[in-house]
Amino acid sequence: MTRQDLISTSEMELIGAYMDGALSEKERADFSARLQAEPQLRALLTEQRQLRKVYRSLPVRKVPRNFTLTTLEARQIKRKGLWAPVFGYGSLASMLMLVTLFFSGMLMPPAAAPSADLAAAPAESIPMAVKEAPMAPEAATMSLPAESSAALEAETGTKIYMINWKGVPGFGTAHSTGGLRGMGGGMLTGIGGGRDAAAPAMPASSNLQHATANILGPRPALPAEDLDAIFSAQAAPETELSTRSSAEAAPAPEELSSEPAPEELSAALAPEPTMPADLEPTITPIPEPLPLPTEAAALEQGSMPANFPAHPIIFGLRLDEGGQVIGSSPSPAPVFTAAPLTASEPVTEALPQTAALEASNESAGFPAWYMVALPALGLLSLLLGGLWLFLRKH
Amino acid sequence: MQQKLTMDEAQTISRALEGDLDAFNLLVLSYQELAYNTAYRIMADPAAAEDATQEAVISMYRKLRSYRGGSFKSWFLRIVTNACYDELRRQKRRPSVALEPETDDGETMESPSWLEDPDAGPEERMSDRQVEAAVQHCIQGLEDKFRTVLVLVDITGQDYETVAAAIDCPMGTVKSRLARARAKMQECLRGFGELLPAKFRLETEDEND
Repeated sequence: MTRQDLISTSEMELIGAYMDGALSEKERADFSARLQAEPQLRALLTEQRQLRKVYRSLPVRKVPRNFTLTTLEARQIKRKGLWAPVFGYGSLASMLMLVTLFFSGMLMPPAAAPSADLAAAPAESIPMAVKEAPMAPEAATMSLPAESSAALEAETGTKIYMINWKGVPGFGTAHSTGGLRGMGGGMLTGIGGGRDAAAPAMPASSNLQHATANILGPRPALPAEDLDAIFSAQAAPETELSTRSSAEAAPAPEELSSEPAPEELSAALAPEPTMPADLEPTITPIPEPLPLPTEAAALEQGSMPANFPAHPIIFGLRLDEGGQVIGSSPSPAPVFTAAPLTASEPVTEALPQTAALEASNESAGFPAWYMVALPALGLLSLLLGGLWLFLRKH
Repeated sequence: MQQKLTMDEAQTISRALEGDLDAFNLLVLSYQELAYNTAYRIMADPAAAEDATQEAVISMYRKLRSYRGGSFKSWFLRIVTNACYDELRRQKRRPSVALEPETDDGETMESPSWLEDPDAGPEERMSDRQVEAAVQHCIQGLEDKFRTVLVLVDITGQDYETVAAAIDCPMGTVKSRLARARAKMQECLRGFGELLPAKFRLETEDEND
């Protein structure tokens, strides 16, 4: 153990203060008395003085140059000093706006979603997709904006199909739209098709004997009152939709599945099912809700990966525990409800879809300004932050 | 160490605050040696000390309006020490700089031979340069807060009050940190112990009594 270890830090402080002349008169007198009586303390003081002498003997370095500022340097420093906080706060503000915008899009309540654009649009311009299909009483229902599929197809140059596999609807469009909700029994963002002229993907366990496909051709636009009814479904209770679908569910599934068309069946049986190009569309303008599967029904039929998140929050589309869409933002996405499907339901339908559906598939219901504002704000905050760091560093 | 001011510091500061660059540069000239030597002892690298001093001057110019009276030297020393530790942090992100003494070939001496020479007698003297290297080596082994206080008090000769204002701590903290820094330095330099030249030995025990 060294001599240093034997004394406390306070003792060292006292020695240092005595050495540096930082003690009061009384403290100094007291310490001097101790020094006379304690040779160990005296030796320590001697050592400290010796060390300080060493420190003070270190040569003073001459400055390599003068550090004075020229007028130009001073001006530059002032200019940078002005901009640095501007960039710093600008970056912070744009970051906050980015976060706010992002979460407002994610968390906006469904009630805030209805868009004045759609409400104000002329009835004939609002697209509407309908389904003429027998549904089980518990069948899922859906209401979608639609317009004349003829106009739509003329506009997009593509045919849009919807096919039910045993009651699990899948959408096939003329080009890939990417799927978030699995295949076959897909929802708006889960498109069963994806290739030109391709039929929707087929649930793995579906009974092909029941698979039929009808292509519905152009049909007239809906009257405004029908549109009102559809849009009111957003706020309307589920029961209303279910009741309507139950009341209109006819004919019985068995009747529909009894006579599958051979060419349709062969198309469905093909390894990569494609929709026959020469299939004659039938015009069936029935403004009824579209059926959508529940997750359970879709899983049962192998149309959705089992490990798919049960209740995902999709960007701009929120689902509840039952797989129902409960919100979309910032622009309204089609609102639909889903009820359990019967596994034996042999319904297969093909429907003309709409530009609205297609658009919502591609952009998850977000308006163009939103899709531009998010990355623009991100880039802006990065740019300003980088400038701020640069000015701080230099 | 510090140059004698040839002007009234308060007036010069006042003029500098009004935007007089010449007055500001007079302040720079007055304190640049203290700033550079403080930085050099903290950082042990002439180039880094130069950078830190320049940064401190620029920072002083930028922050001049935040000076609220009191000891200008303490205020500037705080800027200098902050610039030093900013520079040291930057250095840590870059390849490290050897703090050990170097051989003639420029290689680092992990165990300097003059520390281990068994034949070195008590009277054997180290050159001033070796003493400086030994002290600098021990300073670099101190934690930042102890190093700052030791450099300011024991090497640049600042009083406790100035240092307390510079590091924005009470006087008691300065005393405490200084005591611990000195103890650590003493322990570190004990390895050099008897090698210290006689000229550094205390001549009279009553020197300061």
